Amino acid sequence: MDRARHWFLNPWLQLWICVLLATAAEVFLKLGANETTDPASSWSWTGFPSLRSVWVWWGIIASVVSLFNWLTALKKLPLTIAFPLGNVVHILVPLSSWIFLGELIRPLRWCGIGLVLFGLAIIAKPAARLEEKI
Amino acid sequence: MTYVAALLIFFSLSCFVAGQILLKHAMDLTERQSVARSSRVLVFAGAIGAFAVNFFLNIGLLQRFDLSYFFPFQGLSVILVALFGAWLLKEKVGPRLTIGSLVISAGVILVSMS
Repeated sequence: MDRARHWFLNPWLQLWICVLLATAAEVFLKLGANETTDPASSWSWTGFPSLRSVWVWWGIIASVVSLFNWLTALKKLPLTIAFPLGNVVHILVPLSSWIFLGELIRPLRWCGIGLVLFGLAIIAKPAARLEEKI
Repeated sequence: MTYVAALLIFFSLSCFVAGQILLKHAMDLTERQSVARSSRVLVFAGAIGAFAVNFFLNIGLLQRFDLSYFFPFQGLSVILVALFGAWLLKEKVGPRLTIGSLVISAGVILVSMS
């Protein structure tokens, strides 16, 4: 039992669970938003009507659990490693949109996503170093 | 993308950034004994309120846009947090952050054109 607990609390596993859950949360929220779309309603911009959808609640749960995974991972991993790796979510979300939501991603959008990821990688290292010092 | 949508994306990002700045400010206030507890709670509540507005606006925006289109805009929050952190919290902005910010902005422009 202890061994299984020790294995589950492995910081690398926790980090990957965190990234996967953050991606899943975005997909769930999008599914919930799709399910409750009502462009005629002036309230739809506020997002409140989407609370009717079970997918939105799954999205909220996935976000909260991923936060706990992130905190568990940070107990053991240096932020300089965890923070840049966390940016994998910027690849996984468009990939999931394509695979699970059937979104068509044109080459121009892929280029934009790549640039955002590259920019985040440039910023992530000093930002994480600063947080580590704190 | 319509002007209303662009405005709402920017407002949603602004709420996220305001939440981060207020949260950091609330944490800074806890270090100071001279500040009243009610002031700290008020700033903290402001942060939570800003995050809540950001969350619901995001869902509203997701009803109209592809996730793969909308998600890269969140990269802009990194730049805005850095800029407002430098301005309001007097934090330092290095050259690496400036270069990274420009690259992210270019990426977001490409995504918004797609």
